[in-house]
Amino acid sequence: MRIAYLAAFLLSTTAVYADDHKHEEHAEQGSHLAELGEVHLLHAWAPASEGGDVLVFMEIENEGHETVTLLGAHAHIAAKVELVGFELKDGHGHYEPLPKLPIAAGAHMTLAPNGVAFQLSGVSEHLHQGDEFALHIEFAAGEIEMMVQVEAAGATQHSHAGHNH
Amino acid sequence: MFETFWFALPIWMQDLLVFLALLAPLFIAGLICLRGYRITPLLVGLLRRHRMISLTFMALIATSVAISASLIAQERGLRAGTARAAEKFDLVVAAPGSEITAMLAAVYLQPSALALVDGDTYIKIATHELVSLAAPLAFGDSWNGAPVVGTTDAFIEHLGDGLSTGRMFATIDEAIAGAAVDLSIGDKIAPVHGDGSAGAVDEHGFEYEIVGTLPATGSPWDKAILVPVESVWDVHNLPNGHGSDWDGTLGAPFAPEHFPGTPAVLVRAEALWANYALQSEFNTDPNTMAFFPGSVLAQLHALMGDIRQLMSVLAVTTQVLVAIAVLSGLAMLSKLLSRRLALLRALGAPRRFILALNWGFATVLIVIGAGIGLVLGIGATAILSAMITQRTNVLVTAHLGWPELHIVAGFVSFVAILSFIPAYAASRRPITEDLRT
Repeated sequence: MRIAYLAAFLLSTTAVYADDHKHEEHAEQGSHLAELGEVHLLHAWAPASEGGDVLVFMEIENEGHETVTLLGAHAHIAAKVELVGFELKDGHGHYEPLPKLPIAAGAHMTLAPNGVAFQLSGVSEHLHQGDEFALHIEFAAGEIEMMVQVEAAGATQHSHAGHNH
Repeated sequence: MFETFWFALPIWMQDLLVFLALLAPLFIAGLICLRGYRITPLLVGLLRRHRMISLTFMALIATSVAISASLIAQERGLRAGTARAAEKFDLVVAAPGSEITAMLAAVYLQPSALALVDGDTYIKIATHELVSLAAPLAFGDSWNGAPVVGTTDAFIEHLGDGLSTGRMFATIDEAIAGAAVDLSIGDKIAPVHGDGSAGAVDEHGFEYEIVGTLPATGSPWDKAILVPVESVWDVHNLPNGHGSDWDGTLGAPFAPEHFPGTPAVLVRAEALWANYALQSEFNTDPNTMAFFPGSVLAQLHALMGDIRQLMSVLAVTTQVLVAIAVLSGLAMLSKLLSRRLALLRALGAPRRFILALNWGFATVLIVIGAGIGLVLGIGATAILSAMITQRTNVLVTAHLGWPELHIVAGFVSFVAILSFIPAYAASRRPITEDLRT
């Protein structure tokens, strides 16, 4: 009988813990995930910086049945935001503005260092590791706000990269 | 405010200002130390009298500056050279695996075992609406150590922006030679399986005739021989990419059921955004992996960034150690000169004059030594670049730039300040004792 009580107690605490964990996960997902129809935006991040030019990266998954077109973004902390792509020219790498970026149905686009990124120019604030700021991402189908997490200055990916949401 | 002003300046101006700021301690120290004295005649006399010692010290400084500067410049040159070699490779599509291995194979022609992209996948890539060029790259054979690569005329046109001599291959037994291959139009070659380094030579019993040559591209492709991809499949007893009704016209379109597979496909779209759109699409496809060699290379270069910093620290440390050795030598020299310096003091020269003379002597050796080192560095850089180019087939055109000038300027200023220590010690020596010795 005592064992049965103990088992019931353990099961109930496990259920409470699982419920709590679920809540935490949801809260975490809330800041790491944004959705526009069937387009999922994940893990938006930027390296810590003293302002000026800042690159923002993220993962975009088009789970729909039609191509979606990424057009650009804007943020209140930056004077200008451009969609840019990394390119080699004369032996040196640099970021070129991209007028648009279609993402095919079912395709995943990773915005990452030395690839595609949002380039924020004239950032007025110092961005410290752990800070967050809002970025409004513009698609042909509409606009969505996403929180960008500031990672360490030399970071190469989001601290939660690889997690499935 | 300052940041806005600074970033508004042209890059060369920023570099020049940093250079001058690094030299500023030397000039300020010189102005303070030498103020009111004309030490030039005595300094020239000292340099003449101790010609061999002065030359030896300057040579030591020059050698350490030359080695450090040329090594740092070389690292930058190699970085730019490898990037230039990858410029023609917009997007590479291969079977899923390691991007670095695929890049080394496709861009730098390093022998690697890659899985194949099949016919259906290739056709899907080649017929994509955004793709303006899709060319199979089939590696595995060689001639006299030069890789023989099967591809299409469209890729060759893209790689060399046309041929330098001759014409494009028109039949499966014709080939195009890279700029650094020792072959001329009309020469015949019989490739072997593999890179020919294993000793056992497995000839295919197939001959190509060179009908054209490519201009220099500064990449390992200058050492390659390019042949119709159909011939590579044919000599390996594989279907040649076309059906039984093939009329012998080389290149696309290929028939998926007769396409034996290719280790890599070079893909190009007219616009950068389209290349990125294609990358995301082919990366999502479980049968393919798409990557920009430029991006993979930039990641590798970012890793090498730490090595560059380490190299810079080591270079400066070596220079400073040599400078300390030289200053120690000068301290000993000032002991040998102590009688003459004491005589100057006895004739009325103040301590500060002795300090100025000693400091001036050390600084002249350091500045001239560093200047000669920079000139030697230019020569050493050219020699090292030629050696690396010969070994890697990646054209490295390194030259001394602002980073080296900044390091040397910082070094000169630092050592000039350091040389106050022996100069001060020399100025504090007791006159009477020194006159008696």
